[in-house]
Amino acid sequence: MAIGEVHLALLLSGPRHGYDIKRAHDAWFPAERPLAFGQVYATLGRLVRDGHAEVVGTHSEGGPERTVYAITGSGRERLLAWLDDPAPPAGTAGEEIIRKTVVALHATTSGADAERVLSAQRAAHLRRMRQLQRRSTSADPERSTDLAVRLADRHALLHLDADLRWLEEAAEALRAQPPATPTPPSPTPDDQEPQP
Amino acid sequence: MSALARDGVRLLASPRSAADRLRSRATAAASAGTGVALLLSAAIAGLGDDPATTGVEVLTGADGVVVGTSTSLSPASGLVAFVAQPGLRPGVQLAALLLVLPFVALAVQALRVGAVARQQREATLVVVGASPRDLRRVRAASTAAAAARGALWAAPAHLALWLLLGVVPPLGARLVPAPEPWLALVWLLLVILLTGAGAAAGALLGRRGSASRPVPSSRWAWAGAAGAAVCAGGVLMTSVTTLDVPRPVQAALTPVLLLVALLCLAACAVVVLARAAVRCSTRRVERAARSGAGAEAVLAVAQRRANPVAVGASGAVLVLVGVCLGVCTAFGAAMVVSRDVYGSSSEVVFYGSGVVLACAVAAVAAAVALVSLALALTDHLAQARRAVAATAALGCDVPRLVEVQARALAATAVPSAVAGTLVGGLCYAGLLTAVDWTSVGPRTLVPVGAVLVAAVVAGAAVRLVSCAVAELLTGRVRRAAALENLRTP
Amino acid sequence: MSPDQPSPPDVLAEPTHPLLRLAGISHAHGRTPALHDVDLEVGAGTAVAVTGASGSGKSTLLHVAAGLLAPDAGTVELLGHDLAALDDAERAQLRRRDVGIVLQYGQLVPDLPLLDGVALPLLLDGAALGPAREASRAALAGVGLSAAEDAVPAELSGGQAQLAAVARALVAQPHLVLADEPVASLDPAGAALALDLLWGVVARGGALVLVTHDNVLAARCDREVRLAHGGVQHDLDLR
Repeated sequence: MAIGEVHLALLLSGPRHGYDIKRAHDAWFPAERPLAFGQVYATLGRLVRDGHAEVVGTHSEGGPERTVYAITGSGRERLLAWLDDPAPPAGTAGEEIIRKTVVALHATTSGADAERVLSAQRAAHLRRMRQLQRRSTSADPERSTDLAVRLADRHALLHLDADLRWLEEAAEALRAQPPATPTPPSPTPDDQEPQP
Repeated sequence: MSALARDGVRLLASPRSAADRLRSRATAAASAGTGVALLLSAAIAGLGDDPATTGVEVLTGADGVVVGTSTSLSPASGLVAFVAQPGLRPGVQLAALLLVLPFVALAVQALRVGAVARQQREATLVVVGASPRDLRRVRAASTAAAAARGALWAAPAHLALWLLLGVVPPLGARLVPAPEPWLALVWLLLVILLTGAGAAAGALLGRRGSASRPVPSSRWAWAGAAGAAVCAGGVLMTSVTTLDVPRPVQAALTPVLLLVALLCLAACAVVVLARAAVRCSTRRVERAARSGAGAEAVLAVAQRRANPVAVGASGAVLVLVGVCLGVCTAFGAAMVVSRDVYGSSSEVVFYGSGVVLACAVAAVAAAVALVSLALALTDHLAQARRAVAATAALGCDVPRLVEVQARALAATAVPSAVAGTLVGGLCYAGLLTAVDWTSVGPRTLVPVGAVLVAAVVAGAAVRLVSCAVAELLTGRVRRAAALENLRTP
Repeated sequence: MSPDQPSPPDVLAEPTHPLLRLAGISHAHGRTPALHDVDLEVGAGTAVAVTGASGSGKSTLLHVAAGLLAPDAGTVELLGHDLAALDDAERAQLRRRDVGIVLQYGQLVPDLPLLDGVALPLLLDGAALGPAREASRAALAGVGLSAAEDAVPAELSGGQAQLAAVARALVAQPHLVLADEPVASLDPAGAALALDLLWGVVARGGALVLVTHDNVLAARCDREVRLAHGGVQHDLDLR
C-alpha cells in the first residue's frame, strides 16, 4: 500500500506534526478517502521504530503540545529507492501509480528526479503493453482463439494506455509549475484539535 | 538524369484537372493566334513587287525616285492598296507582326493557370522520388503538346481568315492574299518553332513556380528599363535621321523605332500600373476591413495574390491598342479639320480605310487582351476557391461577388486603354503641330479634343466589356462560392 | 553514387550497418527552433517509434531523415549514403527505390487514378506502364482497395487515401519505411491491415520508423525515441 513511503514523502519538505501530515496528505490525494488520525500516528510509530523517522521535539505554539517528526537519512534512502522502482503496470490498480507520480512531483527539490521517475514508469508500461500485444497477435492458434484471454489482454492494454496518457499530462504539469519550496510546519487552530 | 519513360511522361503531362484543361486550351489558342499572325505577315511579305500578283505597278523616274503608282485591278489580286503597294506594305506587315503580341500575352497568362495546384502536385512527386529533370520533362511535354496543337490549327484558321477577308470582300477591298504553296512550308516551320517555344516556356517558367507569392517590388527597375528603352529609341532615331541612310530605309525604320520605344514604355508603364493598382486597392480594402466591411475585404485580400506580370502583359497590349486608337483619332480629326489641304475624296477614302483597318486590328488585339484578363480572373477564382467560399459564407452574395470581379478586371483594363489613347493621341497631335508651326490655332485643338473624347469612349467601352465578361463568368463565380469548397480536402 | 547503378545490396548483408543514421541534427523553421542536436540510429530488422508532444519536432525529424528537408546542422545517412553528398537526382532515386515515405497529409497526386498513383515510384524509376500497373494492382489488393483502382483521391475517404499512400510507399519494396501517423485516420481493421504490411518490411530485414501519438502503436515497436522541445528525452529499448 506504500502508505509508509507517502508519510516519508510528506516529511521530506521539513519536520511536521501529525495533524499537518494528515492535512498535507488529504491535499495531495483529494480522490482518496481522508486519512484517519489513528492511521497517521500508527504509521509514524512504525517509521520511528524502523529508523526511517525520528521525533525531533514538541511544538507548543498557541496550543497543546504536539510531537514533531522528521525524516532520517535512512528514511530518505528508503523513499528514493521506492520512487526509483516503477509501480507494477497492473492496469486497473492505478493507485500506486498516482501515489508515486504525485510524490515525485512534490519531491523534485529533494533529490528525486521526477522526470526520471516518469520515464521509468513509461518504460515499464510500454514493455508490459508490448508483451500483451505480442501475446494476442502470436501465431499460436490455441492462444489466438482464446477470446477470453484476448479480451482480458485488450482491457489491460487500453487501461495501460490511459495510464500513459495521464502520465504525459502529469509530466506537462510538472514542467509548467514553478519549483516547489519547503514549507515550515504551521500552527493549527485550537478548535480543530482532534482527539488522538 | 531522368529515368522516367515516355509512357510515364505522357501519363503525368496529360491535362486531367479542369484547370489543366483550361491551361491547355488557352495555350493552344495563343499558339494558334500567333501562328495565324505570323502566317499572315509571311503571306504579305511574300507578295513581292511583281505587278501581276499585286496589281500595282510602281513607276520610277530616271534617278530611281518613285514617281507614282499605277493600280490595275487584276483578278489575281484585288487586294486593298495598303497590302498591294510595296511602299505601304511595311505598315500592314508591322500590324500583322504586332498582332502576335496579344497572343503572347495570352500565352503568358495561360501558362500561369493553375500554377499553385501544379506546384503542390510537384511537391508530392518529389516525395515519391521525382528528380528535378523529371519535373522539367513533364512540364515541357504538357506545354509543348498544347503549343503543337495550336500551331496545327493555325493553318485551317489562316485559310478561314483568307476566305473571310480575301475571298468574300469585293475586289479592291481584300485584305488577305491567296495562300501560295510555299506558305505550307512556312507553316511547318512554325509548328516546329511554336512547339519548341512551348516546351522551353513550360520547362523554364514552371521552375519559379508560385503565382501566389507577391513579387518583391521592382518598380524602379521597370521605370529604369522604360527610360533606357526610350533613350535608346531616341538615340537610334536621331542616328537614323542624321546618318547617311537611304531614304526608303529611313522611312521604314523611323516608325518602327518609334513603335518599339512606345512598346517598351507601354509594357513597363503597365506593369508598374498593375502592381500599384493591386497594392493601392489592397490598402483601401484593408482600411475598409478595419472599418468593418468584412466580406469584400476577405475576397480582395485573396485577390492581392494576383500575378502582376501576366496581368501587366495584357494591360500592355491594351495600352498599345489605346495608342493606336489615339493616333487614329488624332489623324482622323486632323484630316477632317484640314480637308482643304488633303482635298480629293479618294484620298479621304484611302486614309479613312487605313484608319478603319488599323482600328479593326486594334479591336482584335483588345479582344484577345481582355480574354487574357478574363482567364486570369477565372484562374484566380479557381485558386482562391476557399477565400471566395468563405466570403460567400459571411453573407456576400453571388451578384456582389460578380461585381467585385468586374471591378478587378476593369482596374487594370480601363487605365491601360485610357492611358494608351491619351499618350498616343496627344503625342501624334503634338507631332502634327511640331511639323507645321504656322497653323497653330483653334484647328490644332480639335484633334486634341477628339483624342480626349476617344479616351473617355475607350474607357467606358472597356468598362462595359469588363462587366459583360464578369457576368459571363457568373457560373464560375457561383461554383467558386459553393460552400463545399470549405470542406477540408 | 551514379544515378543508374542499383543501390548497394551489401547494406543489408551487414546487419550491424544502420539503415538510418542521424547525427547532431539541429534545425529551425525560420526563427523557431525545431530540433536540437538529435542523434538516432536505426538498424536492420527494427521498428522504432518516435513519440513526443505536438511541437516536439517529430515530423521535422522525419522530413530530415527522408531527405525532404536539409537540416541546419548534422549529418543524415540513409542506407550508408550521406545525403548531403548526393545531388537532387540521386536523392530522388533513393526515395523511389529504397525508402518508402508515408506522410500525414496530402500525399496522393490529386488527379491520377489510384492504379497510376500507386505505381508512381516504379514509373519514375523507368518501369514500363504495364508491369508498373501490375505491381500497383497487387499492392492495392494488399490493402483491400482493388475496387477503387480507377478512383481519384478526391473520391476517396480519408482512410482509403491513407491506405493507398501506404500501398504506394511499399510498392517498390523499400528497405526503410518512414511513416508519420500512418494509421491515424484508419479504423481498427484498416489499421491492422496497414500495420501488418508495414511490419512485413521489418520481417524482410528492413527497418521502420514510425512517428506516432498512439501509445499502443509505440508499444508494438522495438524501441521508443521520445522527443521533447526538439531534443531526445529518452531512447528506450522495449525488448
